[in-house]
Parts: sequence; structure tokens; C-alpha cells
Amino acid sequence: VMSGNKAVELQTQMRQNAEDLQNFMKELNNWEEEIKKKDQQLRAGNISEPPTLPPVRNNDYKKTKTSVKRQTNGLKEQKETQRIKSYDYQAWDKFDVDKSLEAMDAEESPVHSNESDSEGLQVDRDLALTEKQKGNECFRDGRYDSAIECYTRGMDSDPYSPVLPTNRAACFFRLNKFAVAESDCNLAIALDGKYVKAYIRRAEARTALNKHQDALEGLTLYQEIMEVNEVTLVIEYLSSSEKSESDAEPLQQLQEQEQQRKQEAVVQKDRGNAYFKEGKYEAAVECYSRGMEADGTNALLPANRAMAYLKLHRFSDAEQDCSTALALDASYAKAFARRATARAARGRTREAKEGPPSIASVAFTASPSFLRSSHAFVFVCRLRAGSEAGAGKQTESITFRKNDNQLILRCQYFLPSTTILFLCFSSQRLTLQQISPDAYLKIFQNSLEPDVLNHILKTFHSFFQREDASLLLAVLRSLASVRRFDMTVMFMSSAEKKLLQELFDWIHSAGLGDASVPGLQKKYGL
Amino acid sequence: MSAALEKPQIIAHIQKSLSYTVFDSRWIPCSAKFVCMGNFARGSGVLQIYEVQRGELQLVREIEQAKPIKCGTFGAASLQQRHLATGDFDGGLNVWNLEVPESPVYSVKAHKEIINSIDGVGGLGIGDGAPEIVTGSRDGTVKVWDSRQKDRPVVNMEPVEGETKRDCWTVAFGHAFNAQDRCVCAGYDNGDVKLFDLRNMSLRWETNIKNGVCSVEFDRKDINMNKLVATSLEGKFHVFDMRTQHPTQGFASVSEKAHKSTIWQVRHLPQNRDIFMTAGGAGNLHLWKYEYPAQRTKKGADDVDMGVAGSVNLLQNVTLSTQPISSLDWSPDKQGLCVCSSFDQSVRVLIVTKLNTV
Repeated sequence: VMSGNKAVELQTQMRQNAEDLQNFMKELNNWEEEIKKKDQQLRAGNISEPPTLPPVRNNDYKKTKTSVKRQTNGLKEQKETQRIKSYDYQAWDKFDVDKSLEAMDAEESPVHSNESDSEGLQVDRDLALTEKQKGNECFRDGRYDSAIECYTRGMDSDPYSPVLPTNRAACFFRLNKFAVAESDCNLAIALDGKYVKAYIRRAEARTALNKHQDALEGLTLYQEIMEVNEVTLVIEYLSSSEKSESDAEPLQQLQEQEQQRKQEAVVQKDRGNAYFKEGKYEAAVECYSRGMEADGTNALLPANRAMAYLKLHRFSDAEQDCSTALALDASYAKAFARRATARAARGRTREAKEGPPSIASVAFTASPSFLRSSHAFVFVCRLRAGSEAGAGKQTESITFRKNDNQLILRCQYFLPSTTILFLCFSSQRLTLQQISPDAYLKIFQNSLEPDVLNHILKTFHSFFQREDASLLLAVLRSLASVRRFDMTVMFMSSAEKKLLQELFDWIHSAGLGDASVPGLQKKYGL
Repeated sequence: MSAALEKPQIIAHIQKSLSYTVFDSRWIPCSAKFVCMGNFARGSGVLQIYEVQRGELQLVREIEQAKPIKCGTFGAASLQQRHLATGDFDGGLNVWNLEVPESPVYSVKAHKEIINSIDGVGGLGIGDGAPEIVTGSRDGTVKVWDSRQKDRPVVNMEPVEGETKRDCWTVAFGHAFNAQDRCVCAGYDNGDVKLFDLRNMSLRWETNIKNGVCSVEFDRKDINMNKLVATSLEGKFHVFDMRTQHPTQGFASVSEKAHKSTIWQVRHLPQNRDIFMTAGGAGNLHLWKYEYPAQRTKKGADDVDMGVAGSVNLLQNVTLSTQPISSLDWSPDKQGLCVCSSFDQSVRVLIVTKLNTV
């Protein structure tokens, strides 16, 4: 009977396994003794002469990049098949011994023949990186001369990196050598035409040299090269350029002592910024406070300290600092934004005890020079909204005084998911033009809220004139390409749909009703 | 049915619970001791040395380090000194003399991010050539170090400018059959397996196994490369026959799906290069044997030699824990003895029987 056999087999198997294990254990114990003896011997034994080892690999060779180039074996094989046969005396007569010896030498170091960098210039990125880090440390401590030396050494090692000349330009800027700074920035831009910082530094340097028009031109050139998101940096800079402009003039009149104090303040600001980046907000506050003691006229310090306070949730202190900053410089946009955040946050904490939330108000009274150009430009500032249920999303009017004219502008909050506040204004009329519609996908990514969509549509409805139909179409198209757009459309109410219908009617009446428009309409659920 | 009698058994001989998360465990060559590496809950690194004493583990030494330690190897150490090379969470490579652990014998900030994997070659009296250590890190680079050169790697394999860098999860030395030849195989999180030839300083071969590569190992480091096993997420591993490289199709391979979860580690038996063990995310171990095909090469379409992959047979499997077994190491001195550590904060010494008759 089979089952009987199986039972027997199982038993034998188990017995065998148990035996195996026992044997192993016995052996193991013996082995343990032996190996411990060996271990002792090795440890106690004399350290024998290390055998002569081959030299460190690639000693004469500074760098290796992973080659995406592959070594084809085919090439090598071809060379081998060209051996001269021993009986081919004529070929041997023509054989050049010296040449082939040289060829062999060259082959032996395939290292050199493979290297694409062998123009004699050895690019040493690692060394350049170390020098850059050293330079950054010197810069933070205020030792600008040593920093320049480090960056120069770095540039010798790696002449292709745009970061080093830009950093060196910053050092020169701090030493008031603005022309040198500008030329360093030009070098950086020549090395990499898309390096934002270089453009901004150059504009700073030019502004300091009172070449304002050139500064603005340089930046608008940059704006053309890059896409919209980068423009935000440009314009934030513009607002601070107002500040450096006002700083540059008194600087030239100040005595040495004052200058030193201002330098000290700037050093403290940089140190504070470094701490801030690392998340050490308390330390950052200390540095900023020291800076403020050194130089009470620098509006950046209280504004930065306010930022640190915001991170530490000390909202009333933050608000105070912002007001100080604004008292020093009425056009400092960042201070406004931070004060608004502080107020909003305080509003929220109050809300916990009281009723409805207070809306963060963003009030700008900019100096006339702020609006000096007649170009329309976009001003973007980031409002950090903490909780989801934060400040209300609604449109709010902002009064803007330019000389005697009053401009009523619409400001739209897109909070909290994107936390980007768009203020669009121009000297003539409202336009959403400066944010190119193609950039919507990047800006919104996948967080186009129904309210946001609503606001955009409402703005178009109330402010745009009929000739903007093509722009309207472009905007609608690119909005539809934002991810999860279908979800957003689902949440539209009937009133909003009516609005949308009117907009589409305008498009049709403007004669732009081509084949794709009905498809677009469908996407919007009409 | 009788085949079951000849199957090797995997038995958990000793099990010990530790008070820290252990990432790697390695036998100290020529001894009955092994080192466990990991990190305490307080964020500092730890090295513990245990000795197998008659069915129990004795703690010989505990060394606390500043940074948590992710991996270690004895591969580049001399038999006399047996220095341990470790990679830590901060990207630092240190070589320790375990008798004098206060300061490392060699120390360098190798990478900007955690060193995921480390391997050594040229030590322990195995093979010729200079001892070298290779580290693979989350910053996407693979660097080879020689303890005679301070601060700078001997070779740095990094992604070309402009390419996105992928985390390197595993590295292994191989093909070190003479003093000059060496190969480094690196596995990345996007499934790339790249073989770098250090003698020619070039990329010799690369492929993509469609899933993050958790572990690669050559069957032997000190021979002309024979086989390479690459394990990945989702329970798959590939065995490549490295003897014949076809110019376009690369190396022949056979793949096997097991474990139903990530295969964290693969280790070949030092005493028999065709037997290897894989450690899985479900706390299980599988013991495999590779069978060579009748002919290892055949003529391809264009009359160029291409390799033929064999087959793998599962010899035994066992589940030891509910947490992944993250590291595995065979004892180089006693066939069948191995140590493994898992994320349930325990280390186990295993016995695998019948390996000489398999």
C-alpha cells in the first residue's frame, strides 16, 4: 500500500534530517575551536611585509566621467587581423619599427586615447566644488577677499561653470567694485545664457552704477529668453532694485564708519539667511537683530526677521517688524506680503475663539517711481497660507495711486493650494496678458480650483473687451489642458456655466469659431 | 518523493533580538565572529561584534558611531588586519580597525547622500591586485576608493551632465582575475544594471530589468566573470551568463519570480559558486541552484557567439520572520553557516545542511 510507504519515507526523511543536523552541530563545535585558534594566531602574528601592490589606479588621470560611449570590441579585433604574415618579406621590408613601437605605447595607455578632455585643459570639477564651498563660507563670514581668491581658484579648475563667476561678482559687489562685478556677470551669462542669478546680479551691479536703463533692458531680455515662472524672480528683483537704488545714493555720501556698519548689517543678514535656510530660526532672528543694531536704515533686516518670526509663529512680532520695514521703505512689497500673512495668521488664531475669519488685506501704496514704466507687468508675490481652511478666496479691490490718477485694480487670491497671489495691473487697463496662457499648465499643475477658474472667467467677463477674443480662446484652451480639469468643470454651478456660455458666444461673434471650438466647449461641459 | 530526502535544510540555529535597527551583518573572516551594523533609535550608529559560542551569541564588543551605518564589507581588508569598511547615512566611508575603534584607519566624505551599498575586493588573500572599495549612493554616483589615496576616489562613475541621476542601490565587484582587471556592477532604482570596466575606464554593458535593482552579485569576484545575479522589486531576479557578451544583445539571462515581494539580497555560497540564497521582503529565504545548459554558447543570427542561459532550481525555502530580511552573509570558513539580519531588529545564525551533496 502506497500510504504505508509514504509514512515510512517521511519517517526516514525526518530521521536523516535530524542526523544531518546533529553531525553539523558536532562539526560546528570543532570548527569553532579551530577557527578561534586561527583567529588568535592571525591577531598575534607579526604583520608580514605587505606584498608589492600595483600603483593606485588612474594616478595620472584626474577625472572619469561615465562614458555613455561604449567600447566596441570590433575595433580592437580589426587591429589584430592586420598582423603581417611571417613569410611576407616585402611587407616586412616596409615595416617601420619605430612607428609601431610608438603605436604600442599609445595603445598601452588606452586611458589617454579614450579621454575626450585631452585638449590639455584638465577640468577638475571636484576641486572647483570644494573651492566654491570654501568661498561661500568666507562670503558668509564677510571675508570677501578670501572668498574672491577661492572662487578664482575654482574658476581655474573649472572654467565652464557659471556659478563661480556669479559668486565672485557678488563679492565684488559687496566691495563696491560694481564694474568688475558686472563684467564677471557677463562672463557667467556667456557661459550659461539661462542662469537666472547672473542676470539679477548684473542688474544689481548696473543699478549701482546708475545704469538703470541698462539694468532694465538686461532683465527684459532675460524675460524674453525664459518662460513666465522665471519672470517672477525678475520682478521681485525690480521691486528690490528700487531699494538698492535708494541705498546706492546715500552710500556714496556716507563716511567710512557708516559704510562699515552697513557692511556689518549685510553680513549679519547673510548669516541670518543661512540659518534660516537650515531651519534654525531662532539663530536667524539673533543675526537679524544684530544687523538691525548695526544699521537701522536697512529695511531688509526687519523684513527678514519678520519672516523668521512667522516661521516661529510669533505673529505679532512679525507684524511689528513688517511695519518697521515699511516705515523705512514704503515700496517694499515683500514686507507688505509678510505683514498680510502675519495678520491673516493672527486672524486665524483669533478665529478659534471668535467668529468668521478675517481676510488678509494686501494694501499697496507704492511710490510713483514703482510704476514708472508704462509697460504692463506682472507682480507675483508668495503668500504663505498655513491651513487649508485659511483666508477666504475672493476678489478684492486695490486702490493704486499713480500721481493723481486712481486705478482700481482687481486682485485675485488663489489660496491655499497654489498659494500664489497674482496681481495684474497696468497703467491702462486690466490684462491677464503678461502671464502667457501656455504657462498655465506649469503654474497650476494639477491644482486648478473651481473658485480660481471662476475668478478668471468672471474677470474676463467684466473687464475684457470684445477684441480680446483671441486671448480669451487661448486662455480657455490652456486652462482646459491643466490636469484634472474635468473634475474642476464638474463643480461649476449653473450661473457660472451661463457666464461661460456668454464667453463662448463672444468668441463665436468675433469670428473665431473654428473646428476646435465646439470640442473645447464640450470640455467645459457646455 | 525521495528527492525530498536530499533537499538541504535551512535551520535557524541561534536567534538574537537587538535593541536597534540592524541593516547589515558580516562575518569576520577566519573567526567565529560577525559584525552587526545599524542605528540606535537615538540616531547614532552602532557596530556590535558577536561570537558564536556553542549555540549562543556572546557580545564581544559594542561600538557607537556618530552616524547610522548602512553597510559594511571586509572585502578589501588583509587577513591579518581585517579592517571593516563601512558606509553611513551621511555619505561617509570609514575603514575601522575593530580592535582600536576610536578613530578610523581611513575616512572620507565619499558621497553627498546615504551610501546604499559597499563592496571590497583584493583583500583576504583572494585574488591579485590592489585592495579597493566601491560605494554606491543615493546621489547617483559610484566611486571606487583605494586606501592609499586620501580624499579623492580613484574612479568616479557619475551620470553624464544633463541626465537625471538615479539612486544607486547596489554595487558589486567582479572580474578581478588578475592584478589589473576589475569590473564594477551597479544597480539603480530605475532598473538599470550597468557594468563598468575599470581597466578600460568604460561602460562595458548596461541593461534595464524593468524594476528597481535591490542587489547584484557576481558568483565569484576573483575569476573571469562567470555569472551575475541581479534581484529586484516585485520578487524577480535575473541570472546573467557573463562569459559571452554579444555586441548588441549583451549577456544571456534567465529570470525567476519568487518571494512575492522585494528580493532584498542575493548571496552566493563561497564554497560553491552555483548555489545562492535570496532573501525576501516577506521574511523568507530561498536557496537556489543554477544548472548550466548543455552548450554555453551558440551562434546567433549574424554568426556571432551569444551566450545561453541555464536554469535555476529551488532547493529549499523557509520563512523566518514577518519583516524583510535585509542582509545575508555566508561564512567563508564554514560551509553552510550563515548569518542574516532583518528589520524585526533581530539577527539569526542559520545552518544549511547537505550543501556538499547538492
